[in-house]
Amino acid sequence: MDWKQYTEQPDEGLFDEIQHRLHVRRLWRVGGWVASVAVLATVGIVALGIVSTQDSRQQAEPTAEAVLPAAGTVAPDVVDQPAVKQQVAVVPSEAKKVVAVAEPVVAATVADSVVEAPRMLSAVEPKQSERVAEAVAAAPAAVATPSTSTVQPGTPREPRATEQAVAAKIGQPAVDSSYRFSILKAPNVIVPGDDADEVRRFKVTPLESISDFSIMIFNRRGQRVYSSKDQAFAWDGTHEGQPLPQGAYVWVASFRDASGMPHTERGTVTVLR
Amino acid sequence: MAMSMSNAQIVEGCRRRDAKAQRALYDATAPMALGVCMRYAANRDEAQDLMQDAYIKVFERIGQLRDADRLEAWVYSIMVNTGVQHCRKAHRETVVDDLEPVASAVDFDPYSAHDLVAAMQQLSPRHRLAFNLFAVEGYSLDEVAQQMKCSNVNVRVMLNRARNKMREFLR
Repeated sequence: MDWKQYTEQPDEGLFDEIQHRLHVRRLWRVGGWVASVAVLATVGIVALGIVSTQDSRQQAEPTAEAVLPAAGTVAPDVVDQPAVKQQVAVVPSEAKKVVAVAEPVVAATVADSVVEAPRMLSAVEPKQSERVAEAVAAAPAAVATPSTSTVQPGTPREPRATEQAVAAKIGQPAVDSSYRFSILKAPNVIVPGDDADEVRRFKVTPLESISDFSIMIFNRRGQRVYSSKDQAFAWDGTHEGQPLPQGAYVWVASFRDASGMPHTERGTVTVLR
Repeated sequence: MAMSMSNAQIVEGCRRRDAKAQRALYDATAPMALGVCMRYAANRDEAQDLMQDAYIKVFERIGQLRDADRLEAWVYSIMVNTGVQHCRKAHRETVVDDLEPVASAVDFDPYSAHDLVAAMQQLSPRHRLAFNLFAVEGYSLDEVAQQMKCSNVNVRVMLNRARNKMREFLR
């Protein structure tokens, strides 16, 4: 029996399918590179944003500028958030150090739908970002505890089906609005020793008129260091008169928007001395 | 079958990811390739899936082929490897000790390849794999045992089971 003579005629279109799959696989390979570059560029830009308020550490700038031209060639339809997580593993060894910084940041933005991406990326170091994530996780618990909480969220409205699905997924009350655009504008950094008042103290600016405002600020261990029910508050980085150490702090604010719907927003603020 | 492009031209074109060369490679090898996959799969659809996966490997690893004359043999080996991996993934079965004489391909001479393949497709993946490796690809019992990570005795038992099942089907 000469088995090499045994042939079968394949279906029409099989070759086209093969070509299509080859094409898509190539796109994923190329896209992985592009996505990794985009992640590096984002990290570089963020590092610039943190560092620009300090006099030292000028060497971050050339790195970010070298990466930025590459980011300009990013094809937006190829770069995909889930792809970034998968393709990060393909980056060569010399970039692995930077990727190690990017991964917790990316993991935090992609997987954790509770925290808003721009605010989480303001964490200075990967260790800090992990602790901040713990503090953020601790923050809702602190908000919910009736004994220590000064927050009164009020009567929640009837959550919509999509909100309920998100709530079930992230384990948060359905009125949490952190997956939509934020209403509060808040700085990422304050420098208590600075001359300018906006830089020296932490204030939030609402983008529409709000009511029933309440804010709490926590350190990385989840301890509350400040709270206020006045929307025009200004925090100077102290706790009961004592200056707090330099580092990242988490703020959680709840309020009602112009139409009366309750919101909770959170972010991080770094205190630099 | 006369080819407008020579093997060397096809391989060179595929290296450059030229669509015409890829089509030529496919047209030249697909009937044989599907024949191989039909032996390792349970039905025609599964066989075509296997063939697709295998051709992806062919086109992505074309750079590894040194000698263009060995094109058909190289494509054949990729088909076989893909088939073997596919059958391996099937669950291991409990094998009962059974020391009958070993099945050989001679028993099946009156039947056509089509009939044999149809019979093979009735087998479980592991039996099918054992039969393919021994009776078609021509490996020895030891080599089959090594490939399938089981003992000689297991292979013999599987071959007997395969032969009996195929005989029943072909009756």
